[in-house]
Amino acid sequence: MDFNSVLEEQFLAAANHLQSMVANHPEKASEADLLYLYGRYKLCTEGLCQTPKPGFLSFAARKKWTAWNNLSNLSRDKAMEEYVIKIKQLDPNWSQNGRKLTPSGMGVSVSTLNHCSRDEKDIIDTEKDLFDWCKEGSLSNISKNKPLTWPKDSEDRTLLHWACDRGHKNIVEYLIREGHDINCQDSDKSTPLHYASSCDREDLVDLLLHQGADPSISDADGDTSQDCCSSSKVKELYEEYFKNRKNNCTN
Amino acid sequence: TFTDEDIHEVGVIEADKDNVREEPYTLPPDFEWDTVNLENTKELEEVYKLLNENYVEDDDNMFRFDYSAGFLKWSLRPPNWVKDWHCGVRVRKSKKLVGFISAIPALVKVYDKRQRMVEINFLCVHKKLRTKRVAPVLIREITRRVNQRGVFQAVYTAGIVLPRPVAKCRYYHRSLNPKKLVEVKFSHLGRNQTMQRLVKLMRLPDEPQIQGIRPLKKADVPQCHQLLSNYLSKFDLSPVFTEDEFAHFFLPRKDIVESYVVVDAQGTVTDMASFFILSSSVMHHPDHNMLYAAYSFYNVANKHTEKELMKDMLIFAKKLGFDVFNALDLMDNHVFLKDLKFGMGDGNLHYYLYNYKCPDIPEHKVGLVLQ
Repeated sequence: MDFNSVLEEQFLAAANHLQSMVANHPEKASEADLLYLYGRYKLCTEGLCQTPKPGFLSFAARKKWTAWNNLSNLSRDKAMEEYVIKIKQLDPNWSQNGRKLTPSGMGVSVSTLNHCSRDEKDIIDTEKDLFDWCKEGSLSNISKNKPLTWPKDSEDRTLLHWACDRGHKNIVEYLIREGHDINCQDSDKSTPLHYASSCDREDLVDLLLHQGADPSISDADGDTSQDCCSSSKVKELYEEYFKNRKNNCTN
Repeated sequence: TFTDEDIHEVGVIEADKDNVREEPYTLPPDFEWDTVNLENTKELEEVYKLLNENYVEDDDNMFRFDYSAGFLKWSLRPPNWVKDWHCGVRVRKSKKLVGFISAIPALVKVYDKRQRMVEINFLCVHKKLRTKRVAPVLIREITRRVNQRGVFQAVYTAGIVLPRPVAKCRYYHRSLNPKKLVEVKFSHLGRNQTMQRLVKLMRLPDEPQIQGIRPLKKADVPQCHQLLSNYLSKFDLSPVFTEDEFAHFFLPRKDIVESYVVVDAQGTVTDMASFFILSSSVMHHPDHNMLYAAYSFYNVANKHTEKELMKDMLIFAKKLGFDVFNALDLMDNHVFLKDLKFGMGDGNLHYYLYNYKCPDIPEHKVGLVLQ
């Protein structure tokens, strides 16, 4: 076993692929192809053929033995290379899922969450709407295409909701400046402040509170924006805000 | 097919050798063998550094396992550990540690047979040496050292496919800190998905829900060992722990392993659950440099459901500050993965046996978790 060699990994992947190919598409490889691969596989995994020739009546076994035994002049690396090339010929669609061959060996393997959205197609710029620009954080494209009334998406979310969700402070500032309703509610009754709180966006919670966002509004679950945050810093922001407000009232 | 015939028997492939090679295998010039002494803080640090700078990375080179020194000692020094199975390669001149591989003893049940084996782990070669073919020599050398002690079988796992896995499992991930996971690109937010909703979806209660669930204590060990042993006997690939091994692997150790039990009014341990802690370094990120991950270890649900038990593990893990809780789809894990909002990972884990054959094992019959 050699974990370092790219060729070795390709060979193993190819040998693995042959199994599923034969199972799913037996028509792709002829008997001659399989014997060609068999001989090379044996040479690569077990070395030169040293077993005695099978008896005269073991027809299939004799063919396999011959395929292996005939390769006495082939080097192991060459055999692996030929094996991989043959698999690619038999199944041109075969690629190793575009995965980079990692030089790692035994042990655990690193895994990350599967991105279903990797299949999402990129939208070309000319087809992007204000929401797309907002999600991407492109303030210039929003100000360039400023509409008469601010749009809502299918769940009644506004650009301000999305800018808070994605954490684009410059867009939040711009929208407030442009007179966007700061306390607008989506179909779940959540305000932009709910979004900023849920995502623990300290800078945005601070900004919204000081721009007059109403922290007493409850969402459909009955939670105020303060109930939605989890970071201690955002919690402190709320406490400070309410303390100051109380002081201002009593003064 | 012509390449592999289905295997029906369970047992050793090659009989034990009478004569095991005495002298170590030959390394490329300029390198020499060393047995790493993990008791020695300096040498432990060397292994830690080698692994942290060169061990397993994901495909996009964004995360690399960050084993702590304490974790390595826990993992590599179970009862009856063998010193020369902590096998290192050094540069002859500078004495710099550039390669490592380890084996620990284990009794493993494969179908209905028990076999003395080793668990091979932590194969690591310095990045700059990956063309020098040091890894194959490390594998041969550890095999020789293990053979010398009369052990001729091994079990190991790898993300990659080698000939020929006996089982294939997949990783699942439960976000505990979804925002950070998105920021470090461990997970991904769809174009039309809001972070707000994702955060809401992954929210957990502040406190565990099972009445009286608490950390495993020394006094629970005999009962809890029995509970786990009974449970593991139903799988086709599982460790057979001695009571000492159980105590070693499960008694809680801060930042290494956490185990919890539920005890009924009569004082009987009815359920147990555990996870180990294995964080990754986040490469090339301005704000985050660590991803704190808990890995489901061994769980036995009895009075409570797997789902109730694992939900409390998520809550404990969240309280301890972990970003993600990982589990494989082995043992009975499939019953809770979906309901508890685990997402499928892009990594597989293949199980291999060395010099031992058995029919392929479906993931829910795998009862072995290596660190």
